[in-house]
Amino acid sequence: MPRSHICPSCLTELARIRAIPDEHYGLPIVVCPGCQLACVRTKHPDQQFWRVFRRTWVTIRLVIAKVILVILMSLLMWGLVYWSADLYTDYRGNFHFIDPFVSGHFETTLGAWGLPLAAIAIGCSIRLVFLHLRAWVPILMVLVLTAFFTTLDFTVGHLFNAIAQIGSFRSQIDIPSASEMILRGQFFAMLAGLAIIGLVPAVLLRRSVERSGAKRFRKIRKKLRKRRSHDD
Amino acid sequence: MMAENETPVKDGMMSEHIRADRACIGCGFNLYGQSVTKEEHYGLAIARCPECGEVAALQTYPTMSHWVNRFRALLAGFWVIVLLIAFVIQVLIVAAFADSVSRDVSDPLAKKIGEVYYNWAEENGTTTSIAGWATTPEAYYQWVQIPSDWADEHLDAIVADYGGLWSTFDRSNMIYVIPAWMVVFLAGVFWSIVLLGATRKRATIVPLAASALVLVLTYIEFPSSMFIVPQASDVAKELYAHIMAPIAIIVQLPALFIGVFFGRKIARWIILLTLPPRSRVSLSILWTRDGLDLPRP
Repeated sequence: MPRSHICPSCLTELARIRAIPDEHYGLPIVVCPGCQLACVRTKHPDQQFWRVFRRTWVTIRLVIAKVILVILMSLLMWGLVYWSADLYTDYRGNFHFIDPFVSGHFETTLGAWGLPLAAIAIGCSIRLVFLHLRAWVPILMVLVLTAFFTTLDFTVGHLFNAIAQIGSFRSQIDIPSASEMILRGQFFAMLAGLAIIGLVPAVLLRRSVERSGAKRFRKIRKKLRKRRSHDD
Repeated sequence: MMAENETPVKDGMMSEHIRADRACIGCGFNLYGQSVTKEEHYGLAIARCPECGEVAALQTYPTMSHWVNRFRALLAGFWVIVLLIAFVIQVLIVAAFADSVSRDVSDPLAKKIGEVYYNWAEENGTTTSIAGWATTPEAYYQWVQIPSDWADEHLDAIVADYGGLWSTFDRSNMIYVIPAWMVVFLAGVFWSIVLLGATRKRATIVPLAASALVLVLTYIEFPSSMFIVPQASDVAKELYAHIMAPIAIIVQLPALFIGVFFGRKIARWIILLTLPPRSRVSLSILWTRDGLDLPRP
C-alpha cells in the first residue's frame, strides 16, 4: 500500500495519485482532484537514504558480476584456443580439421562437436547479457581480452627481453615460437568466427529474453494491483 | 481525561479519512481509516491515534529519526575501516615486492656467505645447522645459520673478497617488475575510485604514503637476531635491502601514477559498457565529481 499523503487544503487522500515531475525543478507534484491545489510529495529521509544506498549497492554488484562474467568468458575462449590446438593438430603441428570428428574415440568426437558449440554459446550468451550495447561491442570485448590472454606469455617474454638488454643480463624466460603463435592465431580466428556466428541465435533468443522480462514485469504489476484492491 | 487532551477542531471539516499507510509517531500504530481533521488554531490537517491518543500533523512526514544520522555515522566509520584495511594491504604488497626482490637478488651472496661459514665451521670442528641435512651441503649453503658474532667479524671481508655487492647482483630478478607494475596499476585505479572526495593529485598521496612507510620500515633495524639466529640468506638480504627496496619502490611509482590518473576514466568506461543508461544514475558521482555530465543514451 502507498504511504499516506493528505491534501493540506481539503484533506483529500492523495496517496493513489501519481506524482509527475514538474518541468522547472523536477519536483514530484500532485494536483488535488478536489481543490486543484498542487502540492509536492515529499518522502521520508529514512526511506530515501536506504533506497539510494540499496540501489547503489545493487548497481555495484551488477557491474562486478558483469565484469567477472566477461573475464570468465574470455578465459574460457582462451582455454578453447589451447584445446583446439591439441584437438585439431597432430604431434608435428599439422592441421587436421576432420580427423577428430571421425576418430571413433568418444572423448575426441565429443570435443570436436563441443568446442565449436561452446564458442557459439559464448558469443550468444555474452550478447544476451549486454543487450544495451551494439551487437559487435560485447563480442569485441571478449575477443580483445582473449587475444590479451593468448599473447600474454609472448608479450611478457619480449618485454622482459627488452629489460634484459637494457640491464645487460641474460633472460631466462621461454618465449613461445613464432610458429606456435601463428597456430594460436589461426585457432583464435576460427573461434572468433564461431563466436560471431553466436549472434544469430542471440537475435532469436533476444525476443524470448525480452518477452520473459516483460512477462515478469506484468506478473509483478498484477500482483501489486491485486494487493491494492485487496487492501481497498 | 481524554476530553481534556483533545484538540479543538472546526465543525464540518471531518469529511476525509486516511486511505494509505501512515504510522503513528507515538506508538507506530497504522492510522489507516482514521478521520482527518483541521485543528482550530492554525488550520493544520491532523489525525489522532486511536491507540495512544497522539496527534499527528499530516502535512509533513514525521519527525526524522536519529537513527538515520547514527547509521550514516556507522557506515562512514565502516568505510574508513575498509580504507585502512586496503591501505595495510597496499603496504603489504609493496613490502612483499621489495622483500622478494632483495631476497632473490642476494641469493648468490647468501650462498657465498654460507659456504665460507660452512668451511670455517668444518675447519674449527663446529657443528652447522645443515650438518645432517644431506650429503651435498652446496645446495643448502644459503640456509646455514650464521652466528651474529661470526658475521660481525667476517662479513665485510667476504663481501670485499666477492667483489662488492654489485658484482653479485642478480639482475635477472628484475622480472618481478612486470607483475608488480600490473598489481600496483590496479591499486592506483582502486584508490582513484574509492577516494572520490579527493582530487586525483590528492588521491595519489595515500598509495605514496604506503610506499614511503615501507621505505621507512626497511631502514629501521629490527632486532630479529635477538630472538633467532639468522640464516645466510637473511644476512645477505639485510645487506641488499637498503639498496634494493628504494629501487623496487621507485620502479613501481610510474604504474601507480598511471593507475591513479586513469582510474576514474577506466571506471566510467566500464560502467558505460556494463550498465544500461537507466542503471548508471546510481553511480553518477563518478561523472559529477569530475564536473562531467552523465552521458546521454
